[in-house]
Amino acid sequence: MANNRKLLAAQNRLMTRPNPCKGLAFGLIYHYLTLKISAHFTLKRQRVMTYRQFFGILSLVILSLFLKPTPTLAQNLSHLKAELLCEQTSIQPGGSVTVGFHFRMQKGWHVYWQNPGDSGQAPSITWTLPEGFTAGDIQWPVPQRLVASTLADYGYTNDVILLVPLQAPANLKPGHIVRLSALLHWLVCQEICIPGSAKMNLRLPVRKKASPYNSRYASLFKGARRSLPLPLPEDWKAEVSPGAKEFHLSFDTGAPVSKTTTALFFPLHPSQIENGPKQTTTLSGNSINLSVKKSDQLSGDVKTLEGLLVVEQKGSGKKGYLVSIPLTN
Amino acid sequence: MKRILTLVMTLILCSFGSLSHAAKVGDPAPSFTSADSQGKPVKLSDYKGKFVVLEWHNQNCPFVKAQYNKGKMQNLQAKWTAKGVVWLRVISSASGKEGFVTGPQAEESAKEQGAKATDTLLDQDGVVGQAYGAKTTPHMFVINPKGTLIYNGAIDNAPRVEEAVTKTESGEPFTNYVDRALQESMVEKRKVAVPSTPPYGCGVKYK
Repeated sequence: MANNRKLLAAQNRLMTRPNPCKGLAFGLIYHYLTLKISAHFTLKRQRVMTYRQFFGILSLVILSLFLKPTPTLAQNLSHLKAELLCEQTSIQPGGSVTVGFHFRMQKGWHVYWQNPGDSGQAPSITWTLPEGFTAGDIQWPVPQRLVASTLADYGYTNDVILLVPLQAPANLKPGHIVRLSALLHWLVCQEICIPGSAKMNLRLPVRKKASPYNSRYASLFKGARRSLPLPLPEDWKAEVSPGAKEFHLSFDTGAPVSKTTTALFFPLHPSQIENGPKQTTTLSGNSINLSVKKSDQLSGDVKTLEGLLVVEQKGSGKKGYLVSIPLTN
Repeated sequence: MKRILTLVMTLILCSFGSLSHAAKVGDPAPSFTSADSQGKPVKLSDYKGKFVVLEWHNQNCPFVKAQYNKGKMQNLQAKWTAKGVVWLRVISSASGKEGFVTGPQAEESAKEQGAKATDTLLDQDGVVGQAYGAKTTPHMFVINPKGTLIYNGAIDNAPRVEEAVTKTESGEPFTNYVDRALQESMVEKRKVAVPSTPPYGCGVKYK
């Protein structure tokens, strides 16, 4: 019973959060109950689907009565919360809005970048949209390199927002309400990985006027945009030369490079470089040089290295640049 | 002095190289000796003259579960072991790490899963895993009767845990790479068309 109370308290904490967007479904996910059996773990799964307001609370309360109380239930209740936010409060015929899938992970847990690295899986979104609507690609923020023993993954800890632009058709009727629905899948990992999914709905009124921004999310969306990679500065010259076992990347920045600079390359494609080995940065005059180990599975010639160059400097922080560099021989 | 230094540097570099060197398709498969779930030592050379499949395994990994819950992996094991293929599951989770099992636990789990593999190897030091460069569960390797590695990579071309796939996102038909490699090499006696793919799954929980 004590555990049921803990569960309810946790649910209430989650429920009392301000409702994200007017008429917006909030995807809350209960994962799996972890039972430690002798030396290994087995996982059981309990999932509550998305819910709204009163009926959501009611169904959760009823459901929690049927949950088997286990000692680890409350601690492992939720490794991640996912929420769909809309930057605007309405949509204009022929106009566009930006939505954000906001993941908040429990401490120590992570979700993945578009190339997850040695293991894992990137989140995916399947839209169900009214006729004429189109959804753009996910805009992936600059990830972190997550090292585990000899392997490395690319992903996000704490929290991350995946932005997606949505385009409305011109024939929308002002005064109507459109319902946009997304099925979100993710894999959240600490040492163990747990798949999850949620159906999320967004109801937006159609208005003749340009869509006003929702002031409540202004800082979240601003932060999300700030964490996106930038194009490589135009005056930088990028080169990649293949060695026997490594690719040597060189970036001429056109100005002396700070001695505090460190750099990392994040590959967009899964089998061009080995993710696990340490990448070495050397600085020379105006240039940042980076050596990355070629993939053991590399077959045939790589013509272009694509990915992110992430540069970190004391004082100016971390910046990610989109790079697509043809190989010089 | 300079020469000695160069030699030392070369030695250091070489030892680093061998540490992270993965098994390459076309090369002799790295030899190994590892205890199985009953504590018996198993050598790769015991199976010379046979096709050998190595399947990196972790019974808690959702990618592995996606294969076992629907009976896909067991069916594949049954199909090929019936034709004389040796199918070894390798568990490289270190002691205390996720997926680590003792011999009896490995046996129990294999029974529960209805696994049809020839044997399960316990590689808690990660020696076999590192020799092959096994990155994920399930990372798959196929070795021909001469002891040459003929496949290294993913189990199939559907690297997502959630959906039962008949076609991939890009519209390609579903392919189980291990099934195809064995079919091509063992039955049709020709070269494996896709000998290497990026593995997917959960990271191997090395020490």
